[in-house]
Amino acid sequence: MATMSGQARESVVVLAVEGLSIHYEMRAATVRAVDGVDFELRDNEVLGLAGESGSGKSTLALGILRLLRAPGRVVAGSVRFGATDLLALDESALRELRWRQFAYIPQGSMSALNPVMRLQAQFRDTLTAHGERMPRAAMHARFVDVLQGVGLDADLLPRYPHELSGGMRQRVCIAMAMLLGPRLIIADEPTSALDVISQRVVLETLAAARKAIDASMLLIGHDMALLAQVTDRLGIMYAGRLVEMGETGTLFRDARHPYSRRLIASVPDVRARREFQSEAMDSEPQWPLDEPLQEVAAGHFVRPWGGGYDS
Amino acid sequence: MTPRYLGMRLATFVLTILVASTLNFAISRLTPQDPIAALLGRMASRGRTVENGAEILALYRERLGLDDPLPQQYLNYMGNLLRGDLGYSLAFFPIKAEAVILRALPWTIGLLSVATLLAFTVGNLLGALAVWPRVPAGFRWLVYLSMPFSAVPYYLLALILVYLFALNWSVFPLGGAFTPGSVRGFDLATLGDLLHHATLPVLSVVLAVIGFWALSMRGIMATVLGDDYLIYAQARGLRSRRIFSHYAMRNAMLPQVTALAIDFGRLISGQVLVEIIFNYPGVGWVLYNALRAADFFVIQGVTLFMVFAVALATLILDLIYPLLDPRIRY
Amino acid sequence: MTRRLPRFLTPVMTLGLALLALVLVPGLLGQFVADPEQMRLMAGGINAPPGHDHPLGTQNEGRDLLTYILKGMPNTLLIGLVGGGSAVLLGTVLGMLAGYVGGLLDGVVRNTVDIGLTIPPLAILIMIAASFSIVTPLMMGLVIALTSWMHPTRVIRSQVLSLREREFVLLLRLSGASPLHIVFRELMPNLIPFLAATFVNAVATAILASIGLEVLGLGSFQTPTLGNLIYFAIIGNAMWLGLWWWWLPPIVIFIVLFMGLFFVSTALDTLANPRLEQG
Ligand SMILES: Nc1ncnc2c1ncn2[C@@H]1O[C@H](COP(=O)(O)OP(=O)(O)OP(=O)(O)O)[C@@H](O)[C@H]1O
Ligand SMILES: [Mg+2]
Repeated sequence: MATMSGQARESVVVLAVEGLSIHYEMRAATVRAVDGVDFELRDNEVLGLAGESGSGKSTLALGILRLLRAPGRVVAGSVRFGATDLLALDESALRELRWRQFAYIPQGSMSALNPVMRLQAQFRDTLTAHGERMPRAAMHARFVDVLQGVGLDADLLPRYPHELSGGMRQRVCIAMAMLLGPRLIIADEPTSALDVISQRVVLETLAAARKAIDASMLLIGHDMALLAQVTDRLGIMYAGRLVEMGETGTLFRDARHPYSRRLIASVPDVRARREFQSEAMDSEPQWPLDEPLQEVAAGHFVRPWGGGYDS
Repeated sequence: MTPRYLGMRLATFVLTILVASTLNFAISRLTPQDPIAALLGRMASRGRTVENGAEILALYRERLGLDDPLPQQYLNYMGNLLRGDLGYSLAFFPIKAEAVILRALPWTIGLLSVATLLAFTVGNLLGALAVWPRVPAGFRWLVYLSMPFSAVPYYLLALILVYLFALNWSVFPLGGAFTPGSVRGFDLATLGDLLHHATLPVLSVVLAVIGFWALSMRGIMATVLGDDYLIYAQARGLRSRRIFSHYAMRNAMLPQVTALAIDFGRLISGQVLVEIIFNYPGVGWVLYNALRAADFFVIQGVTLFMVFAVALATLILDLIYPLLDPRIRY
Repeated sequence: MTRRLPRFLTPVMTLGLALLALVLVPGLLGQFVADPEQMRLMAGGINAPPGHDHPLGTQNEGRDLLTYILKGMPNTLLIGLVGGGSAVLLGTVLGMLAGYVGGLLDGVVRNTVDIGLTIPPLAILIMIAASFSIVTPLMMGLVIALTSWMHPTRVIRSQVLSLREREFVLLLRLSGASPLHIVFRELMPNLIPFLAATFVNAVATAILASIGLEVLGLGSFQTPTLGNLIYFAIIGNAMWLGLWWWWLPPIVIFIVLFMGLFFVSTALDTLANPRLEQG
């Protein structure tokens, strides 16, 4: 990678986030949920983003997608999708890019589907919003196609969301993301509501579906073991900032920041993870976060925390 | 919908009517005198005389079977009700009370349904738009403007409307449902005349109720706006209009439909009083005249009609609700 | 990130209280300065417009309207307080017992309330008023309370149901405190803002119901009230005769009163559940 020329590298960047800061401004306090985050996502790449609960992962995803709700607000930074400045785009141009170019798998997949609408109607809405006109039969065939891609049966189509299990709903959301063959998928903990075994299966489904359409993916999660399976690179978030970023293999072998190390050392066991989180959340940031990221090896960035870079 | 639920719901409906009609009977028989004499006496004490009071009294002691034992009276009363026999009107003898009420019914139903639908639709739209992103701030102000109206009783509002638009500016007629002596047929002129007369009565109900719907819709919509399915719909690039109608409104309307069923009693009571202000020939107007003429059976009939109408409306809304919300399965 | 307690005197509350004061101060004190002589038949000219002797004019029997209003307001307010107060009292006792004790009692109360709520109170009130003579504001208030306790009962019951499962109540139950003690000494304080909002709404409901009855001619005509004043104005054709000083003042007073009650109850509602505040 390091040998690649700047020019060539530029041409394959799908998503470039620079100095992005997002605050929730409330009367009592301002939460700096995302604080000066930079990263790039390249063509056909899967970038994982890990961090404890409350570290700002969802906020970052929503900010990139321009889906933030008040009191959340982007206060600084830029998001470029290819050559387009997403933050400067007007509403209608943005609407046309959505789903066709970048799809989203929400953290709350359980409640993401309209409870009073049949699945087929929600699929149909997604198609027609983007001017896809085709006969009903062709439409149906398309829905069946994406559903089968995630291992679901076509007879789900006339059902309502509440008639599906949690895992089925998450798969439906994955199928929905594949509907228009986007260039980029942002998946926010797409398996959070599932048991350990289903998590693995659904994540593998997602990874396979992504590969089938050659999309890039930003995959948010906090289960390091799961992320390790499907990501090319990994970013570690802490208190709204990236503290370390590098290739997944490198990071697992040679994590430098103490927070990354603890995250990696944490076992993928539900109880243990809880304890880890609450310990980390209780306290003020334990490490200084103001110094810029440093490249300690090719493509491996770490935020200085006051200790040595020994491994 | 299971037969069991349907049966339970119908049973509640019947029970409500039964309780109300029994209350009705009990109240009128608890008076020390017989009910008609009591009513006639009270009217007389207010300086109103009822023609052939003595004759009517004699006739009705018999008709009511006031000399029978109470349980027998109750059975007779219930039996008559079941047959739809409300008794004779004292004021329009020998016309039956149910005939008097039935004649007035279309006016009341017409006014009430137009006013309710209009207020419900406009109020909910207004409330929803008041919090919808990128909607002109004017809508927000419309909601605030509608608030004071919702705090004020309809019939008082009606008086002010009559004064301003009928008396002062003569834009609308002072009252009635149509121009007296006009030929009525199925033509535009008749329709125009009816609408012209109905405008102020409808407006006074609508103005008062819009604020109620707008306010509660605003609160519901504020919550729905942050719901996951709304953000997800936006993420999928759906058009704002589609999201508004099929995602946001469609869900936010559910609690409002429930509220409509609960609020129906208030609506019909207000309507009765509005009709009086506008001399509108509906059931409320019939009630008002019956009260002044001590027309016992008509009074009783109208109150029973109010109970029946509310119970029926609630029943219908309850039965169609599962069609609106697929999650509800009885 | 400290959680601030909502202030009591929010702008909405202040506005509501100010409007209420506008009605209550003259409504409660005015009766002492009013001269009863002025309410006599022919105390002034017939249908006299507002002027020096009669600041709000006179009606068709020559009675002074300002005096009538000052004498009538306390009665109207009394109907509201008695009606709303008794309804809330009844509702509180029933709602708390039903919610806390549960079981058969709760079943009976819940079903009675459910059926009662679908029967329009006006229908029952009309029958009562047509069959009995309601002669005092006190009676009017009590009769109205008989038809309007269901709503407070339902509100209080559901509050108690949710409080009942809170930890401190569970602890008290485990420690063997008597149910009555828990309900009235421990739960009550938590319900105060709710009770206040319910009470304000019930007062508005009671006054509204009394106006309805009075406009139908079913009020107690021996006592002056604002509703009766409107009834007499309608009967006396005040509207068509252009006697605005007869029918307009009571309506304006009602509008101010109801808006005041509305704002106060809205403010109390936000106080009772702070979550409503946003939005
Ligand atoms: N709507 C909101 N209003 C105020 N603060 C918010 C809001 N949403 C999130 N926050 C705050 O922003 C911070 C980041 O939240 P975010 O949801 O992005 O975390 P996350 O990393 O996605 O956590 P999780 O793993 O639990 O999903 C948290 O401190 C949270 O309290
Ligand atoms: Mg999250």
